[in-house]
Amino acid sequence: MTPRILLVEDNEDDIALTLRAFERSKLRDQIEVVRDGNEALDFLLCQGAHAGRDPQRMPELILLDLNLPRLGGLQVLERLRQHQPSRFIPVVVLTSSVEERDIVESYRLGANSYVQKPVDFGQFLEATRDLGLYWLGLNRRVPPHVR
Amino acid sequence: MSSPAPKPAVLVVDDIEANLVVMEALLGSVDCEIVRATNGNDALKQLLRRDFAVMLLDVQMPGMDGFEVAHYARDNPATRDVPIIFVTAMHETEGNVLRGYGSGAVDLLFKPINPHVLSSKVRVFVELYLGRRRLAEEIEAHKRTMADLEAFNYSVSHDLRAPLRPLDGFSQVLLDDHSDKLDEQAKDYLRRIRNAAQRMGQLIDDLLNLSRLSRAELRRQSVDMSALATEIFDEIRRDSGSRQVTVVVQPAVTASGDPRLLRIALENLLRNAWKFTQGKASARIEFGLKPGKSAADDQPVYFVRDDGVGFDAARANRLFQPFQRFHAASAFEGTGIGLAIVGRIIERHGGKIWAESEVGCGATFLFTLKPPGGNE
Repeated sequence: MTPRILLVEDNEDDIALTLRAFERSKLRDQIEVVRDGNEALDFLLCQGAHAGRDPQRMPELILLDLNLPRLGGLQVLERLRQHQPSRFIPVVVLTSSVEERDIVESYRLGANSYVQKPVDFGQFLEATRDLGLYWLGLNRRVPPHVR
Repeated sequence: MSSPAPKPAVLVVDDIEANLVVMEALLGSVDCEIVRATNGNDALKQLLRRDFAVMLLDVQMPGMDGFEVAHYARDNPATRDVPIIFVTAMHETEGNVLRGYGSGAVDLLFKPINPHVLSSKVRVFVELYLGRRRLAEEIEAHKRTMADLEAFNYSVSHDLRAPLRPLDGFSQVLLDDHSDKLDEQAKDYLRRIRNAAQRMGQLIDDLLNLSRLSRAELRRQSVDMSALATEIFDEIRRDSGSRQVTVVVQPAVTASGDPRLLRIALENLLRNAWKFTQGKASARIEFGLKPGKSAADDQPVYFVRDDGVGFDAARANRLFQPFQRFHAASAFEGTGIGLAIVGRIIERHGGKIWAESEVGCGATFLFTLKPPGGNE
């Protein structure tokens, strides 16, 4: 089964909290977690450990942390935008930083949204609910045959 | 920075060997390295090879003459800034003097040369050069410090906030999912953990803001301060529910300043006023322009006045330093950075900020937005 959301995150605490937050919006089972940039690309480009995956089946949303080991979030973003199957997938950068250069670089490389992970878990719950409603509900995707 | 900086160099250009020897002897008392060149081409090559404090340039040379050398030197951005002193046996006529300055000389020396005049002039340029070099080194060091600070801020904003999320998040999960196993005291402790984590998050954000403000570029334009104050008051009212506060904004107050920074400063001041009047049944907060100008600076003085708890005037000079809190955290929340941010913004504008108060009698914050007598 292809998950509707791909969460690219290396921090186990953040993973647990994010999954917990999406549980509230009944999306917990729709999330696949990859723990570094290389694995994210392997997943999206159906290579390496994910070589058997069907490239026709792509997640509807990528939640991308910037601070990743090995291949950083911005590099992941740049690469996935260069490849056919992943170039139109909405990417929401979900990160600690609100440094101007991170925001500018994210959008420059093709991010669709930039959200700071709030310290307040209550706010984070609201944020994940809104993200699910918007990107998996309201938003219209590029149809598969023109990807 | 590791090896000691080389001595300043002086380039002496003359086609006659004997003249070079004489010049070198005359400059013996100046602490510099003499580099010789015997023709124009050689001189230009030397100029490209290293920095010179000054070039002493003979005018009459076969091939490329001194005026041409000066022309080429001034034409090249790499050598343009080396000061040129012409040394010439020509008569000191107005025409020759004008031609010399016209081709880019900073000075002309007519032969026969007075040794004292020569060494004094060269010494001045050597000292100027040393001053310039020191300044360049300091700017370089400053840039490195700024880059370090930037890297530090970046890592703070990423790494220092991250551990706070699980502190707050898992406490909340415990309260939500396991509350049946927790007694009231345990729940209270968890709420305290959440409060502390959120406060720390706020503190980090405020500190980063303070640090960013010091580096942000200042873009001055005309700002409608009255409209800004009214807008901020409206926002505060929306955020803070029903309170009996009389707000008085003097109309048509304008300022020249950075709109974004002024908004941050004014918002901090007005929110402070709001906060420190919260115990009163009915409070009054004013924003406006003091009649007349400040006696010391001859600049307009803006003020924010409240009738709240005030503060001890004896400690007023510490108000604008970070982490100074004048009231117990239980009475008034805050990180103690707000006024430091305001102070930094006013300082960036070249203005001054000060406060007047007595405990229990409200506080007035006053500020200017330009340096004394200045337009910037």
